[in-house]
Amino acid sequence: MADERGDDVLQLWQSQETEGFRMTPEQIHQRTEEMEQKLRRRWRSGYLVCGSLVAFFTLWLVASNDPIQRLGAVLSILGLAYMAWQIRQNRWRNPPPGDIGSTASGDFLRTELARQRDFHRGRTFWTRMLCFVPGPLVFFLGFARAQPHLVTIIRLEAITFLLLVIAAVPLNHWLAGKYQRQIDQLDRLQREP
Amino acid sequence: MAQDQLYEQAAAELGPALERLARSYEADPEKRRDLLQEIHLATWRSFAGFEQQCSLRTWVYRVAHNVAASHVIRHRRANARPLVSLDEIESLPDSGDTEAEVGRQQTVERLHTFIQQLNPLERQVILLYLEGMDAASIGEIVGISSGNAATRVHRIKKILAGRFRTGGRDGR
Repeated sequence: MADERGDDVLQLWQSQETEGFRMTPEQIHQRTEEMEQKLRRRWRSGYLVCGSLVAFFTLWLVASNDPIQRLGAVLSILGLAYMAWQIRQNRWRNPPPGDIGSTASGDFLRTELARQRDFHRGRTFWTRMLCFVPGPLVFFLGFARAQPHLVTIIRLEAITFLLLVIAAVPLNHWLAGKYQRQIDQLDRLQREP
Repeated sequence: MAQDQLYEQAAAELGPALERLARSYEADPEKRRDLLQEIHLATWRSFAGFEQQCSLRTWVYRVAHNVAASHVIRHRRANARPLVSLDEIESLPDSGDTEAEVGRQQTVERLHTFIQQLNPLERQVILLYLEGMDAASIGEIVGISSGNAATRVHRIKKILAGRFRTGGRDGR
């Protein structure tokens, strides 16, 4: 009885109306080009933000006479460059074309989840923080030394920056935990029926 | 065989199954269209590395499920309802009236909604089962033992039989 009903559902599923979608070689090439353009646009926006910040710190590197502020500017530029490189490494990955078909979907999913998890925890996360955080802090310190009359505003900016950094720790920890729970569930499902 | 020819063969043989798969992974019609295009594109690209290690069908299903799973990871909102397992879904209240004779279209809609709630691995198993694949082939595609796949298929059959009435073979 249950089997018959199951077969009914199977038949119903397979008899759904479909559009007969397929792509011609021209459409494939066009779509590939569109996707690459979209990706390039996304990266251009990211580079624009990163470039504006680098330009801002470069300006201070040239304009400031305070050595601590200049050191902060250099550290900030290096930190931003490292962070941009890390994000690019994580998001823009091109595995060999055959990999996607030769990897069992459970294993593929696990790799994807582990990659996302590792971005938000461990060495990847802490090196990102360690490389990015000191630069602006040194910069604020040098700025306050060079412009004592602006110390209240600078302190406020530094505190805001620190609060954002502090908030990033539990947020990333939570995201990593979310991915880890999905990995655990996947492992359980793969292991036992 | 050339990449284009392989793609042609795959699209002819498995095109409808890929459409059904995209529908079960993405409820939004516009995003679903993008996902379907992405699956076709990835399939075409993947044939550059296809060396007949497995059947064309196994290869294409792996590509499709891998692309779809990445799509789910990328687009799933942080506050979205958590995906559940077959065990958990069995204990959830059914939103539809299982005793009523509902139309075919309605049943299909409910089936898609039901599948969209499942975690990716069990979603893959149920979709492959619905496409008529046996436990060994499901295991090969998903990367679980055939015994594990057979147990899950058995549970799926039980749940489907309990929840979905199609109104007879003709849907009337």
